[in-house]
Amino acid sequence: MARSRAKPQQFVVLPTRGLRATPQTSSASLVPFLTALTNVRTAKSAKSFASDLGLEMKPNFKVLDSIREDGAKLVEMTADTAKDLHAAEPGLRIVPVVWYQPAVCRYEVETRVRSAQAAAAVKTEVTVTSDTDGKPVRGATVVAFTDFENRRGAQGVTNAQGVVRLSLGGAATVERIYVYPKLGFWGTLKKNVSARRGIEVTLTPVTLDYTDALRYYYGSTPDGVGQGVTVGIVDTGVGPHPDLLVAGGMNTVTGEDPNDFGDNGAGHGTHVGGIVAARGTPPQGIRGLAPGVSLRSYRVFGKGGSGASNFAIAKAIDQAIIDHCDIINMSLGGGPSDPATQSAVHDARQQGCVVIAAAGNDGRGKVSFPAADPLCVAVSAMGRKGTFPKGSLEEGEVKAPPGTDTDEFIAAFSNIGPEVDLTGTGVGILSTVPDGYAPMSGTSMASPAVAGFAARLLSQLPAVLAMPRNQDRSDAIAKALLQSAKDRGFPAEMQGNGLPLP
Amino acid sequence: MARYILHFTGKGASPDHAKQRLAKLPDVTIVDESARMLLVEAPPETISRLSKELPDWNWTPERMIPPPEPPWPKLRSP
Repeated sequence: MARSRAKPQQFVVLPTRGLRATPQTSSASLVPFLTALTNVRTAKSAKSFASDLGLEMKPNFKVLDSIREDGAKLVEMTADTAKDLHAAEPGLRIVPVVWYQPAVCRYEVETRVRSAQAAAAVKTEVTVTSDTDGKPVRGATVVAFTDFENRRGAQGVTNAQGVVRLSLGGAATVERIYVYPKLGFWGTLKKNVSARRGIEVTLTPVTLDYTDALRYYYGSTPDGVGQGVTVGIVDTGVGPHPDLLVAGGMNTVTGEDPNDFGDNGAGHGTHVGGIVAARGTPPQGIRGLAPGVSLRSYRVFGKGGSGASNFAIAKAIDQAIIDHCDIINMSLGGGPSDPATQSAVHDARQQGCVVIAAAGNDGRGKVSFPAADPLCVAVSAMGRKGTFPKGSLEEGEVKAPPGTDTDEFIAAFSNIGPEVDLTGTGVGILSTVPDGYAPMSGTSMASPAVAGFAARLLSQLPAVLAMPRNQDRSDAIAKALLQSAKDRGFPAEMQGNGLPLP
Repeated sequence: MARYILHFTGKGASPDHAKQRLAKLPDVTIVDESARMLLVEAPPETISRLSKELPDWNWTPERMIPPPEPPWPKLRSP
């Protein structure tokens, strides 16, 4: 086979399952292989590594970072070397590095133009202003794709003048430009924009009496709806926010203060909590589906934006059960199924509590765990045309097939599969974030929409609410919720039983 | 050292004697705990041995779930 002369690039080298190799999830040779690979930092050590393991491969690779000795590695190497490594250990998963954003608009990675082009690179000025008063929008993340298919381009954050200068390599046209404001505005997507004389983008401010998808289907919620029901949010922490009353909770991140269960700065949990239980009054504030519930926050994501351990999640569910939560929302997931989280979810069901989880946002990918667990209520995301402004980011989420009502669609980002139990409103949902309000999209928003509806429903079923906290109770709650769903005309793998409606 | 979750599968809260026993083992460190779980640092062989000695407990490696992310297109590094 001809060897390419490709330049080295970064790959993530992972064990067969999860981030670390264990005897239960990997072949016997994988743990020592990954352990030995940890110390390959130079060509010399690469040569020694290959020699020790009897591998015939060029020593043109080095480990840049590692998650524990027996865990995933960040490796710089050519695609050919990646193939060689994979041939040596077929149980390895080797994937090119993809740069992800954290939960809120805080981009840290920029595509760097090659050094030869750098000198000639022309900075393209992007100016972002409000479409109502022309004032600059500060802190908006601008992502400009010159080649959308290959995800090439540049990104940055607007300054106090609403300006960001991007190195687009002198491209005359930007294929797509996405603008993600921090809060207070709807984001926007523009296609095939001329970049010759800079780019001007205007954003529509958020108004809190706007009829988004949540309010379209569920209307205005009177005070006290959801009273008697306790909902736990397992997430990045909830609040503080003037529209939210958090009754209690726990931070289950190992090593952090258990009483620090407010938002970790990502804003995700506060948005999720607001969809369930915000108790503001539009247009000064915003209201969720069940403002009368007792809302509890279980923070499982650390302060530094790191991931959540399965222990923290299982502990959060345990605590929510102890706190007599009736419904737990988990707008999180990913990776293979995990016995610790699974046990906690099953414990919850055995103790009268229903766990509702987001199906995931991998663009028609498989339903992620824990939503895929049979005892979780898995929620996909649907949207409705006309419930977000024209030109907003949300327009990009419309995808076939339409429902019986042709304005309805299952969001392009939503995962689907036989595990989906219900669909929820998850495109352009207005809710609370630290310091204000913002629209967000995701199955992360669809799940609390269903959780909020479930709380509303349960508060109207005093006989179920009063049942002993056992499997019969959680089955009764789940049954009532599933039976409330209305068929929207999508395939079952997309909508499950449908959209819960009064 | 690797971290593992020990989960009590019996009824009610986990019994104290298991925790006390683990605390005495020189190569096991209890990092965190909840009503029915212990998060421990220990060599895999110790965990494997303990799982046979503690029938009402099962174990799983600790792993991380990524932070929730909005469904936005992302740039790819060159």
